[in-house]
Amino acid sequence: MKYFILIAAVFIIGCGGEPNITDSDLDGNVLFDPSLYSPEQFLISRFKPNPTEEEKQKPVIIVAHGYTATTFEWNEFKHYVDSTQADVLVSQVLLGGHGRTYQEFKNSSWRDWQTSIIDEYQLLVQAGYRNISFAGSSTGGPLIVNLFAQSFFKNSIEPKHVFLIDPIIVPSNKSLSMIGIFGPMLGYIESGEMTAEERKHWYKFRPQETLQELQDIITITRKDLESGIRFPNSTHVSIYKSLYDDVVDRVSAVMLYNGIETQKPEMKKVSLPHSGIHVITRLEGRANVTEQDRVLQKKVFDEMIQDLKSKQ
Amino acid sequence: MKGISTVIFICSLFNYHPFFADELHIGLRLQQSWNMYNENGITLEFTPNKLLNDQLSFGATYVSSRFGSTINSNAIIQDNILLHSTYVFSSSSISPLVRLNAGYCFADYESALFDDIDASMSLLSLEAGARYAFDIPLKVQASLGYNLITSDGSSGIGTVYPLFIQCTLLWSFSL
Repeated sequence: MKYFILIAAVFIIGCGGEPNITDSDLDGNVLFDPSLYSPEQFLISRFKPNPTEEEKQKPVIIVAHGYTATTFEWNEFKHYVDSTQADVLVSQVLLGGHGRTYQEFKNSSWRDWQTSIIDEYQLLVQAGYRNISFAGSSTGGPLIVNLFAQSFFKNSIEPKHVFLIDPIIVPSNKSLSMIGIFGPMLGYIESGEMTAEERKHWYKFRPQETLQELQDIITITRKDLESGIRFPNSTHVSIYKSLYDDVVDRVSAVMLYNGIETQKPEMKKVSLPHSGIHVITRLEGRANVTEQDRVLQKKVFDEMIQDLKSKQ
Repeated sequence: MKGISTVIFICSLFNYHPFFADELHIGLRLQQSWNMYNENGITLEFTPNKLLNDQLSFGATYVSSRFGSTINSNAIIQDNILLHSTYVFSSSSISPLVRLNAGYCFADYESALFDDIDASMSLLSLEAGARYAFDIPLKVQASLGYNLITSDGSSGIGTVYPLFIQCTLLWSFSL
């Protein structure tokens, strides 16, 4: 029934105009992602472009955030790794079109979003890093999985581990599937309730063009998974999917687990925590965070670090 | 005895004579969810004689991704069992139609790892489209459907999508 109301609202309102963006929104011309000013604080390729032989063997993990988010989404993981002296290098990429202005976001495609991940990987390989892994939250997931579907790593360094945190293949809100029909009439969709902190780090307004791009990448990835995506022989995969997440449908985990082919079955793992938080790896800025959420986040971080440092 | 009297009474209301029931239709249903799976299967429809001028029928359908997207792929197996009622607006060879479906969907995730995810949910959908009746006892129905119940990500089966299109080929038998 909610879809009928949405459709009716589209026809009645037909809000194809521009959103009302304020200076306190990331969407405006005042706030930008800090990685644009100081990339060396976020990207390992800029921080250590000439690693020593010892550093080249260290685990480096490229972490990619989700749709409308910024590098902020992986700050807590970076801080945790640093605080525990885990000896892991974290490279926080800012997806193309993100962390800038509404207009730049509106003009970007999912391939633009993915370019930042590719660029950082290639710069790390050129610099000599040999132990590279990936982590993607939400839309970061299909953007990374798509690289494997394209056999991007065929003649390059095989990633050691891929972590997928609430990766989106099927959205919780199924009206996204109809964005190609109703999107042009809508123009944009405003996000639901956001805290002041979240408004600094996430776009509040979602241009319908980018929602169509999101629908494209998840459809492409779903179809690739249905055909089977062969991962390189040495690549391990861990999927974490909250069971009560209102952004990504839990069936996404089934599709990824069944569709990813690793050299050995034990090289892929799936975990379905009884959590209602979308992307447990980011708790900062949320309105309601429980002790249980913090315990779960720590557990995920510890498992990720352990997997990154394992000799397998 | 009371039950039989009730049936006779209801039948008489619709001028319906069970021994002269009109038509049984058996056919194939091809269904494609918008941005999700292709599911195909069989359908059975019964049109009682002179019930609303032969324009109302009842039936049952089984469609599954087993006969669609799942063939040679990792797509999720889902079986849909539907009971439905179809109303065609005229008795002419081409006519608009509306249809109400209710039933259940069952999914098979093929691993105990996913036992915490719902593997069944109820279905309720509406369709609007058209029917074309050929000179031979063949009918074609095509319609656009809308699932009123879909998963919210935390319950139900995530691969049940709101919009779908379907085409049904029916062969009719007089009873």
